[in-house]
Amino acid sequence: MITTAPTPQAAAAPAFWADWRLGFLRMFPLWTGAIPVGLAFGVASSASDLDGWAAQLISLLVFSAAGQFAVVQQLGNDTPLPLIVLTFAVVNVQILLLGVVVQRICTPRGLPRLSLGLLLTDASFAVAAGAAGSIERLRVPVLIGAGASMWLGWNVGTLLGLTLGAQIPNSSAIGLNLVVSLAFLGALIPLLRTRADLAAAVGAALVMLVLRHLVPSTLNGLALIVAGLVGCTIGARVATTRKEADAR
Amino acid sequence: MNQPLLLASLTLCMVAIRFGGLALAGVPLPPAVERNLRYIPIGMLAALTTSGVAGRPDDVWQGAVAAACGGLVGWRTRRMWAGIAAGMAVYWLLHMHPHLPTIIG
Repeated sequence: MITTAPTPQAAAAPAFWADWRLGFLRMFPLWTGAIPVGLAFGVASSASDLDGWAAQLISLLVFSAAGQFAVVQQLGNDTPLPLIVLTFAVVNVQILLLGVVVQRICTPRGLPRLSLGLLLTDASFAVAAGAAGSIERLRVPVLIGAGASMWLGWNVGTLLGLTLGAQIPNSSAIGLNLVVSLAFLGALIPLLRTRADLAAAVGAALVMLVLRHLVPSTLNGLALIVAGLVGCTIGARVATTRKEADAR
Repeated sequence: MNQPLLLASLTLCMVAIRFGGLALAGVPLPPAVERNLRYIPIGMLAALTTSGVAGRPDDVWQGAVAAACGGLVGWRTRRMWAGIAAGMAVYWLLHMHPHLPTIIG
C-alpha cells in the first residue's frame, strides 16, 4: 500500500486557520470596547454632515477609530478636504510604525500581506503579541484573525450607532458631538505612560488653546497639525533631557 | 463636502499608511525618528480633544467638566466606552440643573 505524505502547503493550511481562529476569538473581549465606540462613531456621524451610507462605508473600508472621529470633527469645522486627509494621516502614524515592526518580524507575503494592509490595527497587534507571548514570536494568521474580528465588531457598532442616531431628531442640540472629544480622550489616556508622554499631551493642548483664538475655524485642521507636532517635539525633548539626566 | 471623494481619499490614505509600514521595513530609519514618532499620535489626540471642547460655542465649561470626568473614568477603568458614557452623563446632568450653567458657564 502506497501512502503519500501531505505537501508542506497542505499541512500549512490547517495551521493557518487554527491561528486565524485563535486571533479572532482572542479579540472577543475587546468587542466590549469596539462595539460601544463604533456605536458612538455612528451616533456622532448622524450628528454631522456625513450621510449614513458614507459613514458605514468609511468603517468598512478605512477602519480607524481615531482617524474616523477626527474626520467627523473636521467636517463640523468646514475644513477643506486636503487638511482633513492630512489630519487623518497624522493621527494614524503609529500604524505605519506597527507595519514596520510586523514586516521585520514576520515578513508576510502575498495574500496575508494584502490582508494586513487592510486589517492591521494597534489592538490586533496587542492581541497577537499577547497570544504569542512576545513580539518576537508574532504570527501573521493570528494578526489577521484578530484584525478581522475587530473589523466585524467595529462595523456592527457603527451600524447600531447609525440606526440609533437616526432616531434622534436634533442630536447636536443635546450635545452628542461631545462624544467625539470624549472618544479622543479615551484613545489618548492609555498612551500616557511616561512624563514625556504627558508633556507631549499638555504641550499640544496648550498650543491648540492658543491657536484656536488666533486662527479662523476654517484653518482649524492646520492648527491641529501644528499643535500636534509641537506636542511631539516637546515630548521628544523631555524624553531626551530625562535620558541625559539619568546618564549623568 | 463631496462624500465619494472624501471616502476614496481616506481609503487610499489608510491603505498607503498600512502598506507603507510593511514596505518601509527594509529601509533603515534613524533611531531618533523611530523613537520620536510615538509622540505624534499623543500630540494629535490631545490637540483634537482640546479643539473639540474649546470649540463648543455655548457650553465650553460644561464640556470641559464632562471631559475631565469622562477622562477620569476612562483612566480608572481603562475602557474608552466607559469614559464616553460617564462624560455624556455628567454633561447632561450639568444641563438638566437649571442653575449650574449660570454658575460655571
